Amino acid sequence: MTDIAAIEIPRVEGLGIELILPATIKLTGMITKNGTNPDLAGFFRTVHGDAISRGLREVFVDVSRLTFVNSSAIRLFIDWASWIKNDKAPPYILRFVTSRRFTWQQTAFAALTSLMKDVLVVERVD
Amino acid sequence: MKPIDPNSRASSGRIPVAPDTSSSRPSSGRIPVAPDTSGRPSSGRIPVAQEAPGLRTDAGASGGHATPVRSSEPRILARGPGTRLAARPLDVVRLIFGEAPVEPSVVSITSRAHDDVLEYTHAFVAAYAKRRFLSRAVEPLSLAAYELLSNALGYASISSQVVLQLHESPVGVAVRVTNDTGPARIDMLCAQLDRLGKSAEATFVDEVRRSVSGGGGRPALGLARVVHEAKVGLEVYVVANQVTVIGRVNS
Repeated sequence: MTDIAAIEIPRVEGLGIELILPATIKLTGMITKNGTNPDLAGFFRTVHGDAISRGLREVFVDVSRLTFVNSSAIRLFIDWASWIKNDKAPPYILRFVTSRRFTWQQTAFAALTSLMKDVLVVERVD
Repeated sequence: MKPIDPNSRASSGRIPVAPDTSSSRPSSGRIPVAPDTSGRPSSGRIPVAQEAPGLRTDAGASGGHATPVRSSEPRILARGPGTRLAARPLDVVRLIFGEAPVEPSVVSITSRAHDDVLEYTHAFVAAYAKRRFLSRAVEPLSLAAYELLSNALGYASISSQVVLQLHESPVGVAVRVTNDTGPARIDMLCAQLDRLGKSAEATFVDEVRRSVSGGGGRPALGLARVVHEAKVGLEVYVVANQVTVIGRVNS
């Protein structure tokens, strides 16, 4: 079993990643660079595995200060939710913490929630 | 300011940023809009588009020879039997077979088609937008510049150049991206614009759904974001294998 605090955080230019116990990932800044997605995808996959191994009921992903993402990054969030949804019994709920200040968060998570509301919850901080 | 040689730009490894000097027209002080639809004789001959392979013009669909398509007659082409969808002025996306209007630009960035240019150009546009425009224009402009440039880089012919320009006016700003591409891409672009023209939101959700299901094919999530998320209308001009996409943002 891994510990969320022991998970290696990838270095992605322009993006801040913070792991907060017990089950929160905070993303800040921007995701703009093509080619970084495999690193981020691997990181999300590791967190996903860690959440299952620790029997977490929820994982929080705070994107409220993530000001800009490219479409590839949106697909990463989609992939993560899909891993949960594709499990026979969804192991945990993915809870995105968003801000209404950024349009991409409203549109992307509205669409994602409509497709996967059983595994995904969207909260607003403002 | 003297024009910059594109080749020297590419070899310098820098993204050149320079006011566009290609147009001798004085700035009109307004955002350039779609070509004149008044029916008046235009100032010079309207460029004649070559019919792209895989596409059909109205003339082609009716069995005749392809006739020049006036750029003052924007239209969205759909594949399949016959063509349709004469575009209206307020269409959110318009595909026009003809040259894009000549517009005085305030920023012109030219680069070889390479991914590396994307994040730096985006960073520049975002910073520029923050300095120049009200906050409500920054996010749409930033997104439109990124996704349109990303599309151009993704589909541009190898070794071709990609040009991103910004055009300002008292009411807004336009981002304009030009690149060479192949007929298959133009064909696909037509299909994507057709879908976006019907419903940008539905197309956006479809693209998300396609990602959820791991669907194949080249996605159009970026374009869908520009129209649905940023509320940026798109005009797409096609001449032979050159595509120019213009997105306009109110500031």
